[in-house]
Amino acid sequence: MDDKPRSDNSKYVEEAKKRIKDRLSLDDFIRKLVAMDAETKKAENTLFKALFDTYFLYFPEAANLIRDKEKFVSTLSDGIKREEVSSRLGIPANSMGYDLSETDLSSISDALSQLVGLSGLRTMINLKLSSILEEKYINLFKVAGPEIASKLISLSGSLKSLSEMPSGKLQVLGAEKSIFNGRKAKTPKYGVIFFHPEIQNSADRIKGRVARVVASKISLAAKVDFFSKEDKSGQILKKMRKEIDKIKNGT
Amino acid sequence: MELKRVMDNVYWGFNGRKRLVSLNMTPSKQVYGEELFDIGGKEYREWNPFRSKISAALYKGAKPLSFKEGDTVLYLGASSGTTVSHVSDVVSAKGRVYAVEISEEMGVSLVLLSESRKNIFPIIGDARRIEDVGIAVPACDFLYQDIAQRDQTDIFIKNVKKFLKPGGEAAIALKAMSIDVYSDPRKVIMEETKKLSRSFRVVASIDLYPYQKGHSLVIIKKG
Repeated sequence: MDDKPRSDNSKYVEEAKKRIKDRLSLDDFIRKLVAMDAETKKAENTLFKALFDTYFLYFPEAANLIRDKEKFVSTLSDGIKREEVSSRLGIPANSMGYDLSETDLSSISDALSQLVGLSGLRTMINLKLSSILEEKYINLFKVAGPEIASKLISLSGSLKSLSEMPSGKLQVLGAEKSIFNGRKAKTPKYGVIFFHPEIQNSADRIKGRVARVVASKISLAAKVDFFSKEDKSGQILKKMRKEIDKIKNGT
Repeated sequence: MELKRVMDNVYWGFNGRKRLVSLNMTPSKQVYGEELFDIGGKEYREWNPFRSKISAALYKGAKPLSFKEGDTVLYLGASSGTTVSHVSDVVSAKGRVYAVEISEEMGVSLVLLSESRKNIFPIIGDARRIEDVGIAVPACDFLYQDIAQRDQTDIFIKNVKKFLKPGGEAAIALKAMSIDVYSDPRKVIMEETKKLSRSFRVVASIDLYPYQKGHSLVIIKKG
């Protein structure tokens, strides 16, 4: 037993590092950006709830009128004191709420800035994703749109695997919980592609058929982006339009 | 805390409740936020059954696995190195763990681990085609596989035949849902075990519930 030398793994460590460096790609960055956007969205919602509840304690009559996140932020961004907000909303300034000190109010203003900051971060992330896709994956950018394309790449892991999968699988990417419900429920008609404008703008009765067309065209776009670097989005969109119109006209 | 030996460098510790620990090959370093214990001048790391299938099997009363200090272990599906680090504790400095992982991202953590644990040999590659991996993989004393893929049993059989020394044992963490998501998990495990028994002698099969739901650890012996 004692004649075995102590292990020296340096050759394997170097080779592994080389391989990793070689294989980490833009798609991994896209996946991280998509994840960061999702987490920032959660953080934004969590902070908003807490901030809203705190402001509700101070000025419930006003908070009651600005329960929507956008309205809340836009109403309070020019000042959060009762006197300022009451005139903006056209309600009396005296309130049954708890009177907060100047210092406390300035802390709430800071929290509001943080909330705005998170929203700005999301905008920045999505602009970045959009620019990456427009530059590198033009067909997916035009046919699926940057939000859906980023999520699809993220879910499949890479553009390569997205281009290899059958379009039926692409159609339901993102609906995994629903797919594996087994005998409990119907199989889903769409996953993240649900938010594609063509599907959003079609009647419920034909959504499934439209989803199938959209999925097959996105699948085609992915293949074009992976195998060639040409922009064939014009032709793909034209065909998609034709096939969807056929469904809408009942043929 | 009182210690009772289970395998080389692995002990049951008793401090109110029974906890599995392994002797830390790299004292004062944690790998995944596990608890560290100082007992009798040595440092031990908690081996969490909810994170690690081998630990779960031991908690479920399985007989100790046969790999020991100084052994060469081939570990397929190393991931970020959580369980690999405990296997590394067992085989210690004179042993070796060849850890195969297909994902670059998991591989990064595995490589970082290998820099402090010199007995871990990371290999970034597909366990289905180790011959294409381009770096030497030697014959091993024990083979462990934890890969959630449909063809996991075939991967296991192929690699055991190729790399496990005759007379050696190997263990596979079978995940019924990876093989067939709709069928009854018990039926799936039974069928895969039958498949294994055609090539090897099945020594044990342990359901890892509740530590790892839907998983069983099956141990075989190569003739």
